[in-house]
Amino acid sequence: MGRSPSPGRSNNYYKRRRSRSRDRDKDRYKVRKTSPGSSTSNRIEEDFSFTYYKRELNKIILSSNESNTVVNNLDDFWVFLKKYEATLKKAGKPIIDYDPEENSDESSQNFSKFHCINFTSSIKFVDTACYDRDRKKLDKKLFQAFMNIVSIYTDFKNKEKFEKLRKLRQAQKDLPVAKYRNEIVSAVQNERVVVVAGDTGCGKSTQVPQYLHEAGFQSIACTQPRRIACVSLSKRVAYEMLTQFESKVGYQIRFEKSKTADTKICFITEGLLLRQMSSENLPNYDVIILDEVHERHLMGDFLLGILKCLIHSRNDIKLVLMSATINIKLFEDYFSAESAVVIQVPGRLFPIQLHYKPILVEDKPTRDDRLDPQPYVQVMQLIDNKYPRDERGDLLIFMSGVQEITAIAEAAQQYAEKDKKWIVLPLHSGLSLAEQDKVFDYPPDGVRKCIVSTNIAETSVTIDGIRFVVDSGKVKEMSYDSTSKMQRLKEFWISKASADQRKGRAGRTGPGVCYRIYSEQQYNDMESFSTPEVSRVPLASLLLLMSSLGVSDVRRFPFLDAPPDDAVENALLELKQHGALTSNEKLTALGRTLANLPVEVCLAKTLVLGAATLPPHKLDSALALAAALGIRSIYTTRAHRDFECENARRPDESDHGDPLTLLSLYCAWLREKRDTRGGRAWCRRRGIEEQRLYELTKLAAQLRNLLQDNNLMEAPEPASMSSSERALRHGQMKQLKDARRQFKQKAANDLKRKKRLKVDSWEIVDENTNADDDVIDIRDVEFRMTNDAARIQSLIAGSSASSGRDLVMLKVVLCRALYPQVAVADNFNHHKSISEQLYHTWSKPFVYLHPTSYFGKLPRTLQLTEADIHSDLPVSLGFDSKLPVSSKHQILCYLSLLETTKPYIVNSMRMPAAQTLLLLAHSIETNIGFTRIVCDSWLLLEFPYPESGLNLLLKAVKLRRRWDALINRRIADATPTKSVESELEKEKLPKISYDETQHDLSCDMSTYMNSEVYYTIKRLLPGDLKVIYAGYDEAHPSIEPNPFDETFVCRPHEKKGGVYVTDNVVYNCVVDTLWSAKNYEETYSEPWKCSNCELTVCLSPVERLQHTHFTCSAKEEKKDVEAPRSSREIKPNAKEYVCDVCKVTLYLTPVEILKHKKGCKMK
Amino acid sequence: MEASTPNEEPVQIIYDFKCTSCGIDEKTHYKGTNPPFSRNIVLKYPSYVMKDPFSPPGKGEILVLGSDCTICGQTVCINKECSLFYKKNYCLDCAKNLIETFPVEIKNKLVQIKKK
Ligand SMILES: [Zn+2]
Ligand SMILES: [Zn+2]
Repeated sequence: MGRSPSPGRSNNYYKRRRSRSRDRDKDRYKVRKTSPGSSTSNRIEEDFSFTYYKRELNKIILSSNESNTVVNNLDDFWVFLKKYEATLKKAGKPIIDYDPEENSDESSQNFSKFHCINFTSSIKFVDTACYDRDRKKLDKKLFQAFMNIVSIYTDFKNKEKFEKLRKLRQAQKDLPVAKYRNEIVSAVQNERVVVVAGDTGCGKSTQVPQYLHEAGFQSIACTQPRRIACVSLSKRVAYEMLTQFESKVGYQIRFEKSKTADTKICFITEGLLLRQMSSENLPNYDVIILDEVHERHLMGDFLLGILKCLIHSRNDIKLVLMSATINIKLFEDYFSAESAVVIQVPGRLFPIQLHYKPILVEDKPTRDDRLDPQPYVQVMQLIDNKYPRDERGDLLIFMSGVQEITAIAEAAQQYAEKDKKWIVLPLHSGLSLAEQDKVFDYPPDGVRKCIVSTNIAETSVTIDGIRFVVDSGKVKEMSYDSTSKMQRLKEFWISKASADQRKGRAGRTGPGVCYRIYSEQQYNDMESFSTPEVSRVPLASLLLLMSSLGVSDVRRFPFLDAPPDDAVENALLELKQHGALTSNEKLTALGRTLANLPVEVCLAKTLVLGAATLPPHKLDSALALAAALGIRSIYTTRAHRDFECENARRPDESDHGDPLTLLSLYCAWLREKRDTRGGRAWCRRRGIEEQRLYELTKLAAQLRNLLQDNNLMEAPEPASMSSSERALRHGQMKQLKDARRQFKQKAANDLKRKKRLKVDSWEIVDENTNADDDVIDIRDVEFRMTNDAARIQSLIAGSSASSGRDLVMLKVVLCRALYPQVAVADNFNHHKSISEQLYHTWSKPFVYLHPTSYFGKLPRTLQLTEADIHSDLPVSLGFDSKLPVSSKHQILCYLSLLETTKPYIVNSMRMPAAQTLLLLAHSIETNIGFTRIVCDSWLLLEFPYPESGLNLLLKAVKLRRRWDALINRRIADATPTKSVESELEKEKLPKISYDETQHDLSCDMSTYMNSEVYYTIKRLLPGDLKVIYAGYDEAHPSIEPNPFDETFVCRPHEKKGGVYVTDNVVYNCVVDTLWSAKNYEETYSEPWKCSNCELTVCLSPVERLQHTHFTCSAKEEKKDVEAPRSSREIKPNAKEYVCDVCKVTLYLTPVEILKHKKGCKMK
Repeated sequence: MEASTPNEEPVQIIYDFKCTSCGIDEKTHYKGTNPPFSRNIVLKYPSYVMKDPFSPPGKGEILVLGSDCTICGQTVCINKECSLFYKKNYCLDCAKNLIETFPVEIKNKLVQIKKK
C-alpha cells in the first residue's frame, strides 16, 4: 500500500475562514443598503468586544457541566470570535446583535442571519455579579447576543466537519476500484476464491475490506506483508468508516494488537495469520483477504498453500487475493480447481514516453567496476533543457543499493549546485523515518526533487508528483545458499515486471517519461518475474512453523512455487541439528516451543536455552543479546570510518567479540540514560544509531513478554514502591506526559504548515543532528515513560555480563543456540595480513572476518602467542604432529555468513575450542585411547597426554546431560500436559529448585570451560575422512555398564565402526596413528592403581572408568549414603535378576546388579 | 489505539440518511431537535444527527448532516447545493419554487446557486 496523506486537516482553515467572512461582508454590505433600519442598537460603544467578558463568559460556558463544541475548542472559539467581530466592525455592523423578533409569519421579509442557522445553544445564563462601571453589565440579554455568536461558531464548525466528510466520500467514490464495488461484492458472495488485480493507488487495500463489511461480512482478516502497513491501513480504514474511536477496525502484528471482540476488520501480518492457522487458534473469519500477494513473500506464499487446503474443509470461509496487475495468471491457475474469479481494476495511469539508453554511453568495460554517474546526471541536464522550469514534475531514479544511491546522489548534488534547480534526496530503508519522509515534502517553485531510491519506491512507498523516472535496471537482492548456509547480497538485473512497475511510477499524476539506462535488448532478455522469496531465503523457520501447524510432509506441500529441493533438505537438517525435529522429522518438545516464538530459530533457541539455564535475574542478558542480534545494525555508516567514533566506542568493546560488544555498548547506553538526561550525543559520538537502541529495548521487552506467555519465565512480581517513590514517579510521569504533549502539539503544528524543502537540503543531515539537542527528544521521553529508574537499573544489572560465571554461561547459551555455526582459523593465518585472515566453517571453507567486526579489526586476539604454544612436550609421548599443541586454541561462533565482495563471517564470538566442541558437537568420535577425537566429522582434536582427552570428554558428556535435563524440565514445566498421569508423574520427580540446579551447573560449566588441556586442532578434508574411520567390521563390543551414561544401552555404529556410548559419542571408531597406538600401548599395558581403593591391575581406559564409576569400594560407600536404595524405583532398563549368592530375585539395572554382586561378595 | 468503549445504550437505533440531491449516504444516530448526546445544543428544525466521527467519544460533539424538506419531505444534506436553511429546511427545488416568499438576501443567494 502507498502512503496516504494523514487524515488531519490539510487546508489552512483560517485562510479559508477569511474568505468566507469576506463573502459575509459582501452580504452585509448589501443588507445595509437595502434595509438600513435593520441594525438597531449600534450606538453602543464603538470598541465593544465580547473579549472584555472573556473570563466571565468562559466561566458560564464551563460551568454548564456539559461538553460541547465551544467548550472543547475554547481557544479556537475566541480566535474565531475576534475575527468575527473584526469583520463586523470593518463592515460597520454592530457587534451586539440580538435575536430577531420571533414572529409567526413564516416567510418573513425581515431578514436575520440567525434565521439561516439551525443551531441554538441552551447554555443557561448565570449572573456572574461582576460589575464594572466602565463597561456594560453582562446581563441576560447581552449573554443572549453572545450565544448567537456561539451558534454561528457551532454552525461554522459543523459545516467544516460536514465538508470534511463530503470530501472523504467523494475521494472514495473517485477511486478506480469504486466502479467495481458491486462486481467484487457479488463475486465474493457467490464464489470461493476471488482475485482482485489492480495497481497501487486503485484503492483496493482500503476499500475492498469496507465493501465486504458493508455487504454483511462480520469477520474480515486482511493480511499485509509489512507490519507498518497493518497499522496505517487499520487507521485509515477506521477513519473512512467513521470509527476511528472504536475498535471495529483493528490490527494485529507481532507483539502488538488493537483487535477486540468488536473488531470486524482486522489487518494482520502474513506471519501472524499463519500462526493462527492451527485449528484451535483460528478465529471465526468469514473472509480472508490476502493483500499484495504478487510480492511473493515467503509467508504469503505459504499462507496461500495453507488456505488452498483450508477452504476445502471450511466452506464458510471466502478467500480474496489482491495483487498488482503482475502475473495474475499464476494465481488464477493455482486456484483453478477452486475456479477463482479474476476482477481487474485498471489503474489510473497516464501515458508514459519510454526511452532506452537516453544517453549514448560507450559500452567499454569500466576498469574498476565502479558505477559511472554520468548518464544519470546527463538525464537531469536533458530534463533541464527540454522541460520548462514552470512545468512541475519530479525525478525518481532507481538504483540497486545504498552505495550506488550515495554515488549518484553526490554527483547529482554537484550538478545541482550550479543553478539550484534540483533538490537531491536519497531514499532507502536504512534512513531514519524523518529522513525518508522528506521525499514527501514540497520543493519551492521552479525546483524539482531528484529522489534517488532503492526498489523501496517500486511498490512500498508511493510518492506523488513524479514525472520522470530513470531506471538503472539493477537491484541488489539477498539470496541464500542453503548448502553453505550463506546469504549473498548481489546485484541482479531486475525482471520485466519490476521494470514496468518502475516505469509506471512516472505516470501516476500526469503524463510522464521513463528513461531506461539499459538497452531494449537488455529488457527483452530480462526474466518475466522476480524470483519469489521462497527460492532465496533460509527456510528453517518456515519449515518449523509448517511442522508445528501439522503439515505432515513438508516436501509435498502445494507451494505456488516449490522451493529448491536441497534448500528444503538442508533446512530440515538444520532443524534436526537444533533438536527441533527428530531424526524421522517429528516435531520435538523443543521444536514446538521454538515454533511458538515468532523470531528466527537461532534467536528463539537462545531465548529458550537462556530461560532454562540462566537464573531469572540474569535472563535479561539473554533477552538483550537476542534482541541485539535480532535488530538491524546499531552502527551508522560513520561508525567504522571515523577514527573518533571507533576510539569513543573502544572502552565498551568486549574482547569476546561482536555479540558481547553489542551487549556492553547497550549497557553503557543504559547507564548513560540512568545518569544523564540524554543519550543522543553519546550515541552520535560513537557512531551509533540511537533509534536502534530504543528498538532493542522494545524488542527485549517484547521477547520477555513472549517468554512469560509461553511459561518460560515467571511474570515479575509488581515492584513494591514506597509512597515517596510512588509520588516521585508520579511527578516524573506527569513531566514526561507534558513533554510528550508538547512534542505532539509541535508535530501537529508542523504538519499543518506545508513543509517546504530548502534547496540545500542535502546538507540538512548534519544540521538536524546537531540542532536537535534543545528540542524535546520524544523517544527519550517515551523510553522513560516505559522504563522508570528502577527498571533501567535492573536492565543494567540483568544485561551486563562482563566477567565470571555469568559471562561463561551467556556465551555457552548463545554458542549452543548457534551451533554448528562455528569457524576455525586457517593454519597459515599468522603469516597473513589482517584482511587476509581466513577461516573455515562447518558449512563453508575459506571465509573472511568481516572488516567491521571486532575480530576483523583485531584478528591477533585469536591467534596463539609463542607463550601459548606448548613446545616442551615429553618425547616419550611420541607425539609427531607438526601442529601447535596448546591449551589456548579458540574457535569462533558466529551468527551468519554474508557474501558481499567476499564471503564474510558476521557477528562472531570466540570460544575455547575443545571444550566447546566436546560439549556441543552433534557427533563425537574417538579412537580407543581417547587421544584422537573427531567432532562433527569435521575437526580432529589430538590430545598428546594420555587420559586428558578422556577426562575432558567425560566432563563434557556429564555436563551436557545435566544441561539437557534442565532444558527438558523447563520445557516440560512450560508445556501444560493434558493427561492426569503425566501431571502426577511430574509431581513425583524430586523438586530441586531451578536456582540450585542452575547455580551448580554454572559452577561446573565455568570450571570445565576454563580447564587446561593440551591439544592440537585440525580441519579434516574429504580425503582425511575416507581413512579416519575403522569401519563396521571393527565394531567394538558393547560396554556394560556404561560409564558415560548408565541408562544408555550401547549399540554399534553401522558405518564407521565402534560403539555408541551416548547418543552422540561413538567410541573406538577412529583409527589410530603411529603415535597414538604407541601411546595407548605404553599407557594401558602398565598396571593401573585406583586412587580411591587398593586395586592395582591392567585395565583399558573404559575398564578404568567402569571401576571408578561402579565398582570402586570407596565410591560405593559414598553413593549409598547419597541415595538410599529404598527410595529407588524400578528403572526402564532393569531386568529380573536372581543373585547366586543370596538367592533373592531382584529387578535391577546392570549397574545395580554389579553393585549388588559386590555387596553380596563382601558379606 | 483507543480502547473500545462499551456500548452503553442497549439498542442503538440507526437512522439511514441519504441526500436525494447529492446522494451522500451515512448512518446517523438521531433524528430530531434535541440530540441526546449533546444536551447544550438544540436545533431549530428536526435534523439527522450523528455523533461527531472526527472527535473522541463523550465530548458532546455532533455532526448535523441534513433534514427532510419542510415542503416535500425529501431528505437533503446541509450542502448549499442541496438545501437552503431559513428558519426551516428546504430542498433546493422547493426553495426555488418559493423564491418570492423569501427576503431579498435569500433570493440573491438562491439566484447565485442557480447560476452555478
Ligand atoms: Zn446533498
Ligand atoms: Zn422539497
